[in-house]
Amino acid sequence: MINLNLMDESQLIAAAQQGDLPAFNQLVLKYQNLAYNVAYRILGDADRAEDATQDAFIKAYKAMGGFRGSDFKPWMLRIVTNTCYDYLRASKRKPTNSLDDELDKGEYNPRFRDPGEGPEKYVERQELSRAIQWGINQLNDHQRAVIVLIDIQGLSYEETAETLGVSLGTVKSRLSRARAKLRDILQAHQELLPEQYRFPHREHSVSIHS
Amino acid sequence: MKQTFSISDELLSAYIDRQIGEAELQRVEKALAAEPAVRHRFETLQATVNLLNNTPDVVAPRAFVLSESQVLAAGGTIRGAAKRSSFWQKWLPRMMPAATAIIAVLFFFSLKMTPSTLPTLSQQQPAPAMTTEKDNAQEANVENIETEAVAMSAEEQAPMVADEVVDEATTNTAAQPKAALIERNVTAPQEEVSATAEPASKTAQTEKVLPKSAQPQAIDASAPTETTNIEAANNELLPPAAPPSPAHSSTLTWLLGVLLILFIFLTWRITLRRPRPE
Repeated sequence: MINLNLMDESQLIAAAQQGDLPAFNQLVLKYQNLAYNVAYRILGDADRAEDATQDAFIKAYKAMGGFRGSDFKPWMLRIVTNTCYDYLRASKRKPTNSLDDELDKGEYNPRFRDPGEGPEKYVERQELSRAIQWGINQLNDHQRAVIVLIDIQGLSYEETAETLGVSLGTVKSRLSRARAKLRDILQAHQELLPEQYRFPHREHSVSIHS
Repeated sequence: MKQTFSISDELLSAYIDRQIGEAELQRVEKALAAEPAVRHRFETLQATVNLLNNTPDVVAPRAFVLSESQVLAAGGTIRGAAKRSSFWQKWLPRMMPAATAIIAVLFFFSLKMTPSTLPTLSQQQPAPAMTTEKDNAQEANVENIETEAVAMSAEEQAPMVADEVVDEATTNTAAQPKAALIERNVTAPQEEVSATAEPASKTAQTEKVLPKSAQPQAIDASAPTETTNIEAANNELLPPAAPPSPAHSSTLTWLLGVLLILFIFLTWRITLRRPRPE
C-alpha cells in the first residue's frame, strides 16, 4: 500500500489522473483553503462559496485526465474562478444588496485564521474584512477575480494570467481599474474602515488625472 | 515653467507592483515628486493595495474531500470502484421509486385486511351460501307452510338429522368431509324451515342451529349434552371459511408499513438528495 502522505505533488497528480480518488483528495486538502478563500472573496457569500468550492473540486477531478501543465495551483484556481463566474451569472437576476443590508446580515460571520490576537484586534479585522468585501462586491466579475488573486492571495501577474486565461496586459489593465474603483468606493465610505486603515487626507486641492 | 505629467492609474498600479520598465519608473517618480495630485492618487492607491494585502484569510468551514458517491453522481469514474458501483449508481435511483410503489400497494392492500375487518369478512363469507339455502328453505316453506303438520314434521326432522350428523361427526370427525358436505346439504334447508315456521317459540333452538363460523370450535366427542352435540354438529357442518389469521395479518401490515417508510426515506435520499451534478 502506497503512503499518500509521502508522495509529492507530481506523484499525487499522476495518481489522480489514473482515477485514484484518495490521491486527488490529498491535493484537495492541500488547496482547499486557498480555493475557498478565492471563492468566498469573489462571491462574497460563505454558503455559495462552500458550494462553489465543492463543485470546483468535483469538476477538477473529472478534468484531471486533461491536465497537461506542470503547475497544479493555477489550473485548480482557474476551475474555481470559472465556477464562481457561473455562480455570479446565476445570481445576476437577484437585486444587489444595499450597504445596510450587507452589513446587517447576521449570516456574515466567517471564521478567520487566529494568529493569537486579542478580541479587540479580532473585531478590528472583522470590520476591515467586511468593508473590503463590500467594496469588492461593487466590482464586476473580472475585476473581482484579478484583485482577489493578486492583492489578496498574492499570486504573481503571470500566475494570474495563466489562471484567468488572459494576457499579462489584460491582467495589468483589469487590476489597475479594479484598484482605482475600489479606492474610490472605500474613500467614499471611509467610516466603514478601522481608524488605522483610513486613507491619507489630501493636502492640496488638485485635479485627478486618470 | 512647471512640467505637467500624464500618469495614469494603470501606470501607478504597475509602479506599486514594480511591473514597469526603467524609463516609466523614472517618469513616475518624477511625477510623484513634482505633482501633489499624482502623489495623492498614488498614496490612496497604495493604501487600497495595503488594505487588500491585509484582508484576513477565512478558514474553510469543512473539508472538501470527495466521496465516491459524489464523484459517481457527477459522472466521474474511480479506479477500482467504477465497475463495482456503476451498476448500482445507474439502476438504484430508477429501481427505488418502483419498489416503493409496489410496497405502498401491498401496504394499502394489507390495510384492507386489518384485524378489525377480518372478523366481519369471515362472517360475511358464508353469507351468500346461507342466503341461498335460506331462500331455498323459504321457497320450500312457502310451498309447505299451508299445513302445520308439514312444518311440525320438518321441525321434528331437524334435531333428528342433526343427531345423525353428530353421530357421524363423532365417529368420523374430519375424516369424511364429503359425507359431511352431503349431510349439510340435506339438513340446512330443513333447519331453516323449522326456524321460519315458528320464529318466536324456537328462538333458542334457532340460535343453536345458526352457523357460528366466526368462532370455529373443536368437536368434543365425549360431550354429554345434546345441545353441545348439536353445536358441534353445526360447527362441523359449516362451510370451511379460511380467512387469514388476524394476528398474522396485523404483523404483516406493520411490517409493510415499516418497510414503506424505510423505502420512502431511501428513495428520497438516493433520488432527491444526490449531490448536485456539474
